[in-house]
Amino acid sequence: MKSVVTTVVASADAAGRFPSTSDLESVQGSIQRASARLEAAEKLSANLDNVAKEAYDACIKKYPYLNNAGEANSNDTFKAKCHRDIKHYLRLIQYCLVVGGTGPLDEWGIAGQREVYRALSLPTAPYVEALSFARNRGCTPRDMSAQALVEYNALLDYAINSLS
Amino acid sequence: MLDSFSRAVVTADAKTAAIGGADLNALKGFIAEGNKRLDAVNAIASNASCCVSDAVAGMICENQGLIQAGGNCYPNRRMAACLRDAEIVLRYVTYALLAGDASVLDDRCLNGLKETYAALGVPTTSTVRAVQIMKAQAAAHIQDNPSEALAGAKLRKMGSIVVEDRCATLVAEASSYFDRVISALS
Amino acid sequence: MDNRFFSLFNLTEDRAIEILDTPPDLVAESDSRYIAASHLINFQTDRSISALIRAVAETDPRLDNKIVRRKSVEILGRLKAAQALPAIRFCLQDEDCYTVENAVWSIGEIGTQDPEILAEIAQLLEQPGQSYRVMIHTLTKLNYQPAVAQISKFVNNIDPPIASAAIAGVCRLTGDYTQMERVVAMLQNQNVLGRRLSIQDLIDARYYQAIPDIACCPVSLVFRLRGIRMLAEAGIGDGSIDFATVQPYLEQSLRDRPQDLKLVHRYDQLPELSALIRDLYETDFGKCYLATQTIVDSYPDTAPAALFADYAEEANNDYGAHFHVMKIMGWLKHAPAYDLLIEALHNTQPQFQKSRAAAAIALGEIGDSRAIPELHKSLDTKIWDLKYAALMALEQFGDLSGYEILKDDTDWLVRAKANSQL
Repeated sequence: MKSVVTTVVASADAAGRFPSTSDLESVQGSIQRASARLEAAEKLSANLDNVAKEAYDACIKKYPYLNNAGEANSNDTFKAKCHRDIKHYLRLIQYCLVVGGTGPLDEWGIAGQREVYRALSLPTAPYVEALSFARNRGCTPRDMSAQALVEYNALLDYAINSLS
Repeated sequence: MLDSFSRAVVTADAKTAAIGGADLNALKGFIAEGNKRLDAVNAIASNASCCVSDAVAGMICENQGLIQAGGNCYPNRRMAACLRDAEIVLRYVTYALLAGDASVLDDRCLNGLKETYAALGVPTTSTVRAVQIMKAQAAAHIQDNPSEALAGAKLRKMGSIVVEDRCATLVAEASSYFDRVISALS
Repeated sequence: MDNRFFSLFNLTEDRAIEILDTPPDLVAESDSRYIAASHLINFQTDRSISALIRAVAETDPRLDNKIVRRKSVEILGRLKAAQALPAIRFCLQDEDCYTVENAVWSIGEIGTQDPEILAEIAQLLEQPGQSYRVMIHTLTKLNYQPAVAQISKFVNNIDPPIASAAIAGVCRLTGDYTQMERVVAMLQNQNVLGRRLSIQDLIDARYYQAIPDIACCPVSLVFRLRGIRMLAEAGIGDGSIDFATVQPYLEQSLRDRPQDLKLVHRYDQLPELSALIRDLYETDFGKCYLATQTIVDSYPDTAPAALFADYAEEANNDYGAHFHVMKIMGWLKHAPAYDLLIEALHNTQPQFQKSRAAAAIALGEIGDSRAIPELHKSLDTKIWDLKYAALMALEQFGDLSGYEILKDDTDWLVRAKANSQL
């Protein structure tokens, strides 16, 4: 799992040397940003189910057809999957906040996922809408500090970008 | 390879859960103590060659047979290999301390080490002794109060005087990594 | 093309085009150009295609527009809009790797033998940070022989799914099957996405020998059945294999016993029953099967009550756990689950479709003969795996009358099964 620290250690190891001053400086930089990330992770973990539900509901409300038993009679299947997947992505975003990199999203959420969605003709729009809603809804200082929100939104953008 | 942050992620993922309050608090502690950790890593890394040569010297001092014909540090070529190995162990312990997680030490250093040493006929007791000396030195460097008895003329202090157990948890953590090496060899 | 999900957004063609044509800065908050682009999949008209091409020409670099552009490229591919090829080709040089990925995929969907376009796609294999799997798939699909050397360079890639795609591609283009076992080995990848992608590569390579391995790959049975079915269709079609060869593996997958899978996860120590039940909610089905196996082996007496409680609480509303609860009741031969299973067998809510065949299999395991007429009702459905599973369950009851009923079925696999027994 890639993080600032494991990256530093891996490159020191490849060169067969002890951690250098610049290695330690880059870890220090990451630690300074980590407080904001952990704050966002903490807020998200306490509200993950709500954030997922709210994002998903907003998407359903905006596109009521998703909620009707229309001719696309498999909509319920997709809704259930969508709700599950949104939670999955938010959990991965929380992991990214903790680890300080996009590794968890890359490894468990994106690599190959685009291909699977395409192969099964699954629409990505509801994911994008729900995650965009979550991104636009975050508010400072009500939800978290400004710095924490920056970290959180950056990861939501990353997920939106990679899934769309 | 994991660090304390990715360890929390992997553990939570195994349960399909978000990382919860207790784990987040532990990580906040890691961050709050982050500068001390970096100082500790720096202290060991800056004194690595002294630690290594002192540990090997100490080991030989207690067992002169090692440098006589037939001993495992004889001739010079094998002495050099011994120094190199001690440095490798210390280096991975330092990585583990930086990461706050033993996986890099386990996966990249200890995995198969005992079998390798057995195949090469390296005496475990002596190796363990050298590691024990490095453990004591690392503790001293983290606390920045190297004892005159061990350091002798090479004694140097890195900063202002340190309150005794300011770094107790870091010393304990570093010691646990050395203990891991010792138990992997025994 | 499976288009079950295409009608999600209740927009007219006019309205969708209007939204898509709105400059990014002027879009109302309640509208989404991304949705509009997605929705145009429903309209194979020159107007829609022109609108999508206009969207591709809008190169505002901000995220909101970037994703619209990318989606438009994809939809043009789905619409097989050959007139859009020049616009899509232009995207091959985009700096955004996902735009490039979608462009390559769309060119594959539209199909072309233009050597310049194909060479341009092959050239992308030389660039860093691209979605190499998609390039390899497209070049292989379009049978572009000059790319063999470039694709070969990826057969030892550090990323297993990329190596797998390259091996399968070389195999399709040159008939060299020597490396295909490495693709088979990826069915055991730790990452569930890796395992799913490997099934796709085996399908693409028409590697029929892998059918037994696919049958024990720890992913959802949906992926296993899709792989076996597509390989069977291709292989029986060209005379390489026959139904009798495929049948045992197909039925093994439909029966879906955890001990028939080669699981890639394990527990260091026996978890509590409650923790095992939580694992039934995993998105990686490999973990769910491990939990199933462990529940059946270690908690046969206490599991049913706990599963009923969990079902009432939560699993009734989660299509994954719902499915596994049905399976486990069958493996435990828990007779009091009869009513629950009958309800699942006839549940027409589409998200629980997978549970219906699971319930049929479980009813066969439990052996309560009241289930026979209920299973007969399931022979009359459009869902092939439900019909097939009902036949298998009836077999367990010694009722062989289903074969006659289904011998002229519309689904070729069900038909083959029925006729093989007559």
